[in-house]
Amino acid sequence: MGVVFVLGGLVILCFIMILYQQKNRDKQLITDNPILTIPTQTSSKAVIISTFGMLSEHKCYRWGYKGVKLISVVLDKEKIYLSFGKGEHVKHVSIYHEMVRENDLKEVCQKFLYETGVVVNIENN
Amino acid sequence: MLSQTKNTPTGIMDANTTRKKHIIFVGGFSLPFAYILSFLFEGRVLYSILDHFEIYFPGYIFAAIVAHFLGLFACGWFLKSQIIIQRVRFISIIICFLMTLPFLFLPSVFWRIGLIISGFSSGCLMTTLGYYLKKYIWKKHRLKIVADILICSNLLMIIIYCVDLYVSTFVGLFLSLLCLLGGMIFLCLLIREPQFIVEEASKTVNTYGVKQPLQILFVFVIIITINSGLMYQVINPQFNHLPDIVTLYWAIPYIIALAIMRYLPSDTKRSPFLYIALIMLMSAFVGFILLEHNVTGYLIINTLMLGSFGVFDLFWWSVLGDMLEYTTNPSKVFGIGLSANVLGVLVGGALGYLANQHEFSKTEITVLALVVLCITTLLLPVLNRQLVLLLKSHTYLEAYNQMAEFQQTKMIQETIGIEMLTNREKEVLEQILSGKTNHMIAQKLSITESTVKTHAGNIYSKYEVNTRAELISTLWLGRQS
Repeated sequence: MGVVFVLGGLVILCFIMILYQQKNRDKQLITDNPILTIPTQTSSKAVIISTFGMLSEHKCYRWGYKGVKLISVVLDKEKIYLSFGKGEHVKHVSIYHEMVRENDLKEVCQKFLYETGVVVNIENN
Repeated sequence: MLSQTKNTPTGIMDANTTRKKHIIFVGGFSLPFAYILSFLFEGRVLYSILDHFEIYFPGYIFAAIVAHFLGLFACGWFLKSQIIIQRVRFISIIICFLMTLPFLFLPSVFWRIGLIISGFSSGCLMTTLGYYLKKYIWKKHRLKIVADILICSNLLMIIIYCVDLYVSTFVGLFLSLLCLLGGMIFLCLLIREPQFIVEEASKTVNTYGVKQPLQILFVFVIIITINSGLMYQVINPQFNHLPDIVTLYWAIPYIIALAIMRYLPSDTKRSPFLYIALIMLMSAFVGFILLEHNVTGYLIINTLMLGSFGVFDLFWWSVLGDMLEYTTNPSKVFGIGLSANVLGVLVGGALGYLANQHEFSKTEITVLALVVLCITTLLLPVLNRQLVLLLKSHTYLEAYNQMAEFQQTKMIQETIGIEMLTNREKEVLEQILSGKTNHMIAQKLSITESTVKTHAGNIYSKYEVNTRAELISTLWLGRQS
């Protein structure tokens, strides 16, 4: 009986380790392929928007994986608006980007198109 | 033997020179292999010597086979340069020779140690065959060459067994040792002739393609040779009361099967023979239950069993020989492939030992063997598919490498599906189609290997394939149609 519990515990532990490993892999993938890095004032870790997802201090969103797609990207003077999801389940995220120069905005737009195939919509309001 | 004219770096090789090369090559490997079969690898000569002195150490014999497996599996990882391979080959033969010499004298601790060390050395020795096959033998001749090696080594083994049975065990051992020395002499003759070296294959080697087929082949060989181990532990002992017929006839069906497969016309489909061999093996185990353990029973069971092993052995030895084309480390690929055979025998032997300990009935043993064969039957189409994909992608890359640069660019642009992929994915696909590994792509595009794999995975899912080989095959066939 004890052996069953030990084996069961080992299986659960392996499962947790696999999930943890997957999460770490996602984070590394996002960090290695940044499109836009936004420093935050509240913490030392920046927000990274990447080919493969988005990473902040508390959250990691992955797209281009298991059917989840980056649907649209909108840029205005202050914020970047991202929509991603699968089917009817779509998530909307907006972040202050702190980009001032037009060239920076254009570079980010080109990177999005090149890496993700998504055309960035720039709003000038 | 073969008689064909081939171009070499130093000129035209006439039929006589080719024949001479093949004789030397076959001699160089069949002689040491005969030593392994007749003595080291649970050979009759070894058991005869142990019986002569009435000693028995099954643990050390088992350890020697494990050491042989380790030598085959591990050595190839370190054999990368020509000089190292040649030295390893010579040193291995010398070690095997020195470690076997104590068996000519009274039992001592050197017997036990010698078995294990020579087990490992002989494994290292056999891995070098991969290197020499690639260097000296054209790809389309390799099946015939490995068949000749297997046939000659088994014929020599029969001769040694006859000497052991009818003349003297120690003369049999002496002949085994002579085989080792003979192998060394033939090797010296081989490397003395630079004109024997064939032209190198295309510089851009499809290095990524061999891993998955080799893994499946590894599993396939282990499972099939479990039956070989069962045969040694369970079936053969039932016929120990027929020493003459066992000595003379045991390897004959194996040699005949090899010869049939070797001399088939080259355009004959060989895959049906694998299924025939599976049926033969099943029938052998069924015959083990139903037939008497007399001469007739032995002839039938042994013919079916060893005949099927001959077909399987030549199949996977020749597949390994073909795979050498797709790797920069042929010793490693060949060593891993051969180690699967030894591992299967070990596993089968362990199962057979347990079956004997628990006094399994013949029916129970046959059921066990049939279960193993059913698994093999399921694996065979999977293995065939992987090998076909490997061949298709290699055909593509060979054709691609022979094109002019502007033709290569044009072909890739035509092949890439424009709407489906992002620009980055198209970049990665272009590198995949030119035959680069993930590591090479990562270096070229200044991204991580993990990123390359992720992009490649996305590309595969968009084209609804699972592997690089399938992708190339799909695009290549699509372009041709």
